[in-house]
Amino acid sequence: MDARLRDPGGGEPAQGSAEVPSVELRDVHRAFEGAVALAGVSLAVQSAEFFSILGPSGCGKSTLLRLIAGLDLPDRGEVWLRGKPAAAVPAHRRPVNTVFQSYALFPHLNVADNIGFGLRMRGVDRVTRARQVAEAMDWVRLAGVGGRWPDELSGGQRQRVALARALVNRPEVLLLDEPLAALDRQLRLELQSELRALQRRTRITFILVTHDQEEALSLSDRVAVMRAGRVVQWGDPVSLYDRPRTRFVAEFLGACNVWTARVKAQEGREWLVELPFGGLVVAPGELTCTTGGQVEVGIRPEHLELRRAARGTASGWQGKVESVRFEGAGLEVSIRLGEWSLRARCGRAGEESAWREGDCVELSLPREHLLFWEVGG
Amino acid sequence: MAIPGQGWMAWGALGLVWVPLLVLVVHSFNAARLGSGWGGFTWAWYRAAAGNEALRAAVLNSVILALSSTSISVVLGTLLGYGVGRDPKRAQGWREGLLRLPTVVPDIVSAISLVLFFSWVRRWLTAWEPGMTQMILGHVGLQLPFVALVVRARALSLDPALAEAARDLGATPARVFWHVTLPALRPGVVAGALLALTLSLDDFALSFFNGGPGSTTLPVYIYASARRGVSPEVNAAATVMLVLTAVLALVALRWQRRGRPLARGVTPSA
Amino acid sequence: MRTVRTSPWRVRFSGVALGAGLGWAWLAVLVFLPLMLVVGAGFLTRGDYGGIQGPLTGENYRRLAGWGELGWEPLYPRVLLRTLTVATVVVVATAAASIPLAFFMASRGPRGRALALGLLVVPFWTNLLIRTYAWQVLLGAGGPLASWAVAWGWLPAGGALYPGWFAVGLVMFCDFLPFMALPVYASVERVDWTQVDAAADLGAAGPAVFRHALWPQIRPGVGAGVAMVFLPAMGQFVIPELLGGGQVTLLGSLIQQQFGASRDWPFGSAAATVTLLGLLLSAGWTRRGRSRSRQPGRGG
Repeated sequence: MDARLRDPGGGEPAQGSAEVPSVELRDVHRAFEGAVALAGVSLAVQSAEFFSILGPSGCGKSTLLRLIAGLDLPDRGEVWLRGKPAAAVPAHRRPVNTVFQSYALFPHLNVADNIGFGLRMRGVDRVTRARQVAEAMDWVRLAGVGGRWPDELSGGQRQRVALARALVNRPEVLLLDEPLAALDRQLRLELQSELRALQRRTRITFILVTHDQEEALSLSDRVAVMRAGRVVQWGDPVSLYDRPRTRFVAEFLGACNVWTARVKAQEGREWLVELPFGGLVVAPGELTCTTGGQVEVGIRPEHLELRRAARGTASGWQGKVESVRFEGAGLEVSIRLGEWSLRARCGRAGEESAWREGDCVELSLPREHLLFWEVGG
Repeated sequence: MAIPGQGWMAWGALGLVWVPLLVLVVHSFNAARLGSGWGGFTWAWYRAAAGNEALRAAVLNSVILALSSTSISVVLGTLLGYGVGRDPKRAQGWREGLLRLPTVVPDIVSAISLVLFFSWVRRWLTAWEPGMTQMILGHVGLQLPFVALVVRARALSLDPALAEAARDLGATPARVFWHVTLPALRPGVVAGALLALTLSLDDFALSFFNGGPGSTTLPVYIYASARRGVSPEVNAAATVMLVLTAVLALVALRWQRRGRPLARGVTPSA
Repeated sequence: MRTVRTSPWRVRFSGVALGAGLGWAWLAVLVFLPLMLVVGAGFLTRGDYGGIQGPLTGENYRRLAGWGELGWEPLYPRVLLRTLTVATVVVVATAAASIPLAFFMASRGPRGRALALGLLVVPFWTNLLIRTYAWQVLLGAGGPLASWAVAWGWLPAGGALYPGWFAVGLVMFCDFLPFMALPVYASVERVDWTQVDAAADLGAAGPAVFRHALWPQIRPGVGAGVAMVFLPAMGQFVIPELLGGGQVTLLGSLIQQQFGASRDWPFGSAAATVTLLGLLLSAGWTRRGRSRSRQPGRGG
């Protein structure tokens, strides 16, 4: 591979080994004039992985990217690249390239020269450069626009140029800072699948920063959810969605019904929790709580089970359909249960799901889909 | 919205600015002396100007003064303007005020302030004499804030991510400046250079007070010969300088746009 | 291992810092220090051979205010008043011409704008003295403009428009026009026209639209133009000297005399310091204009 990837100290290049993470952060802290951006972040991103950092704006995710790129340094903690501390490696010698949120295309260079900039800085000769630039333009389906100027391109084309400009250097790690945020939905979806395919093809480690949970969940091998300068939870998208460790993660990754409930009793290894609108549910023993204390209980709308209320049966809760919102592929049904309101999502198939306002409904909360958290998580 | 009559008012104002210039050029080809109507076309004044040694020296001095002061002020002003403008927190406030202040000082005040300064300098540097060096130093002081302000405005409008992108792509800090920052600043630098050139060519007060015997510039020459009335040779010399300046400016503007298509801002549909 | 804050790439490209420092140093030594010397010299006395000597005195300002050896006489106060009047007239005239000019330029396409900007700047590649002489020809007896004026019956036969106040005013107007027009144009070009549409939509008529939707937006540009014209106009001495025919002595001419024939540098410095005082006033004006334009709803 290329000389830039090797440690300047002359150590053995450690690429490709599964045990050595591409990027590792060890208890990284960073504050700006008193405002804490990162408060102790530790992460390991494996080689050839598509990793996403997801969080609301201001959670420190862009700062994290800048630390990996070497455009900023941590106050405390360490950034390791391919098994070596990167503190002494300046940005221009790191095997890392970035796709900037604003794209940051050089206005005085045409598309081909923009893409070839990194190669030129490394002293790659003109002929090789032209070949590699053409190849990179093929990857991102930009063939034929090499002579154009950045200000003549559409948003999607600029995005592709920024991507090609980074990828052409064959970095160990590609950082993407909200690369699709400025594009409209149709184009965003199209580019998402292209990104995914590119990552699979090039086997480059991708680290994507986004505030769009759908984007993170659909593209990534693993996702880290950040909040206020910390990583709250990281793992594969399915486990994050199904077993969020805090209420914040649950609500950030998708809609969720959440209530505060009282712990009624301990029963064997499990807890009995009383819901605010009546009824008991069983919480797993691992939950840290005390009898008489409070916990938060959640369930995702698609996991609520609705049935037409049969007169006389009293199994489960009885409610009334408050409103129905048509969502194309399904319905979102809002159900009133005394003073409580619940959201449920159901498909449109079958007579069973033709809900109307005012319908009486009987609902159940399947035990395996219930989520429990300590209060304030 | 349009202001009623804005069109003819605009042309009227531009016309007033251009009238003396036309008089100048026309009379440089006029066989009759100034003020006595059209006497036929002639190159005589150009020939006379070329043969007038004092006039030639004055034109040469003006050119030397303009070019050398502009070169210095463009280099310093670019660095100064970028140094101030690259950080939005620094670009406003007292730094901006300090740059704006000299631009509104009357030129006579700048001129006599340098007279005082250099007479003070002579207490230590007894050999110092007013002349070309003093004029160049003064002109740079006149131009520097203007160049710096123009470059600063350009630097402020640049995306700070540009320099970071270059660094990220493997450019050392020096190469970032040379390959990305400077080219991105180029429109501002060219505009600043043209402004500096204009200021130097248009100056009279500073040259008048700070020049020496061997450093007479064209305006000082004209002023000195005022009592004898202006010779049409001066018109010829001024016309030549005007044409030279125009050529220089066109070259600069072309260079600024080098490689760029003419119809900029025309975005093809996505 | 702890990260070292002063890693080599963290230090910004020091060439820029060095160059910027050099620029500041140049300004400090060759612009600000000389200006301070002017202020200082204004409080000193003329030496026996034209130099400057102590002690500190307010005598020069007393003289400017009109007190001389023979008691009070209004010579210098009149010069001051005349200077302020001329400068004000020039400022008002250039502003009144620049606003329509700027709107006209902004209404052109990109090429038209570049052309208009060029038309405004190119004449200044010839020197002020040369242009002033050209005006002498135009305005003098028998010159084209004077002949027209005679033909229209505005002037007696053989009359001239120069020397005199009219010639000084006209040429100063032409000379300072770009310094007003360029900053005004810069602000007109950035006008947010939706505010104008909104004002019209809310029932404002022509002048009211200008007053409420346009003026607040172009005010900073006009303010910058006023600063660029007022003080330099106060210091102008070539035009009054060549076109005023001795009738129009302004502050600039006074300074020039003290540093020329009269060789009274301290008195000339005091007169120069008066123009610098105006600088503080105009700085305050622009600052006020700017802080106002930042208020929400005022745009700009």
